[in-house]
Amino acid sequence: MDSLSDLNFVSTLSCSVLYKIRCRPAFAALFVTLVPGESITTKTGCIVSMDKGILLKTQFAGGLLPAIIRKVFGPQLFWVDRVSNQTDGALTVVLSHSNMGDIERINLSQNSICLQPDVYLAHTSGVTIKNHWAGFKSWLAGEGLWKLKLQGKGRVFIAAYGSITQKMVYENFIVSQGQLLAYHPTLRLRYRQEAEQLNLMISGTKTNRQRTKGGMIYFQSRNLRGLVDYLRSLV
Amino acid sequence: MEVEVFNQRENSLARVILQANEVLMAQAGTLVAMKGDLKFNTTLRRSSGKSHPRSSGPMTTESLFITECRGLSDRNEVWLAPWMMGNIIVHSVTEYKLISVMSAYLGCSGSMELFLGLPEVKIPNQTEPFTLLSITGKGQVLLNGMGGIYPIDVDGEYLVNLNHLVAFENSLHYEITEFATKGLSSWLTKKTLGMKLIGRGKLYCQTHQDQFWGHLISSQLKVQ
Repeated sequence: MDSLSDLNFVSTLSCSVLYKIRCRPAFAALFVTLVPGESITTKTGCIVSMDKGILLKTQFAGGLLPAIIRKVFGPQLFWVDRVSNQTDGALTVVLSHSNMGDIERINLSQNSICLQPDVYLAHTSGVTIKNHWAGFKSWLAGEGLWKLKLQGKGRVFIAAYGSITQKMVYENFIVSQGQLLAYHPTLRLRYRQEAEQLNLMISGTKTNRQRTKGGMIYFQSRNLRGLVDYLRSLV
Repeated sequence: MEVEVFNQRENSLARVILQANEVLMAQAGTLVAMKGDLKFNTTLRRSSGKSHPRSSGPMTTESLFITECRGLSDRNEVWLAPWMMGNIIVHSVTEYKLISVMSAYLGCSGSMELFLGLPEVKIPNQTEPFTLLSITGKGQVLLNGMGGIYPIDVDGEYLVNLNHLVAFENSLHYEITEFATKGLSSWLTKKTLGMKLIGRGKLYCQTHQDQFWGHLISSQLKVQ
């Protein structure tokens, strides 16, 4: 395995930190290098290791009230750790998700992305956490009344169980519940019970000129609920 | 003893080639396949001592079953694999002894010595023991981890989440500590335990942790 010095860091956005996703796709881990004064926000409990001098500050995800609303009405994120470098040199921190699978980067340029529960890993400065109304059907499906919405300019890192596929959706596209990771907030989500499975139908929105405006979705190759059901059948 | 690791990272498998009178000390239950003239002997390593100052009753012990494989002729093969999905790495012990987490140990050369429970580590406010294994002598050690294993060349001070620790060289001084977080909210969240390593030496960490994964699955199995 290559050493830390061999990391080929990528940085194209001015507001983004240097990072590298290693051990892809089965056991992905995010190696972040913070230059002096830089910071990244991550889900609490996702730090694997770090250099001396890294400062951690635990805070509510998106503020006290939005975090409480999300938590009370669904299984959404509550705490986050703000990881910052207040020293004179570059410092490295390693992050990973509890799920075994891939990590994907989403670039935001003054737009937003909605995340499903337990998908969020980290985001760079310039991105803020908001609440996005998801509806009562989402609540009944166990995904909460409010979804986590990240908006602004920067990068968002999501983690999956299995590999991650991204797809541009214009017309009706059906994804099994539990497979969907993230979606553009303008997309319409409809919950459909089919046989023993709950599916999500995703479609674009019509514009004034009768054109369909699409959006990007991210879905995972494996479903944790499927694994749990399979294990339960063995017991 | 020659070691080759196949299927690196996801589902690693190690092939150990033993010449006549060479010995491999493998963790019992990790043998997958073998070929040639081999003699097996299973031994038990024990540690003793209270794992926690608040624990009552008799001394608590940790044990590790070791299968000793001795080659009786030239070029014998032993194939090893851990129970969990993840990576296997080979570390050559030369100058400094290696200290590994017990669950990360897979095997080592027969010329080496294993000391279970040394050094003794006390974790505050935790009843479950945290057992380390000291590996001394000269030779190769096979370690496994949940997920990928990445090496860190520590020069100064480095902090690793205790659940992600695999092994470190004895040249490093260690200290169990909590991840120091600031802010009012840090009083309300569960503290993450870490190991602070000071000095110069090699450290191995794993990208994932079996306890977290097990908790995630078991908590969902209980639902319904």
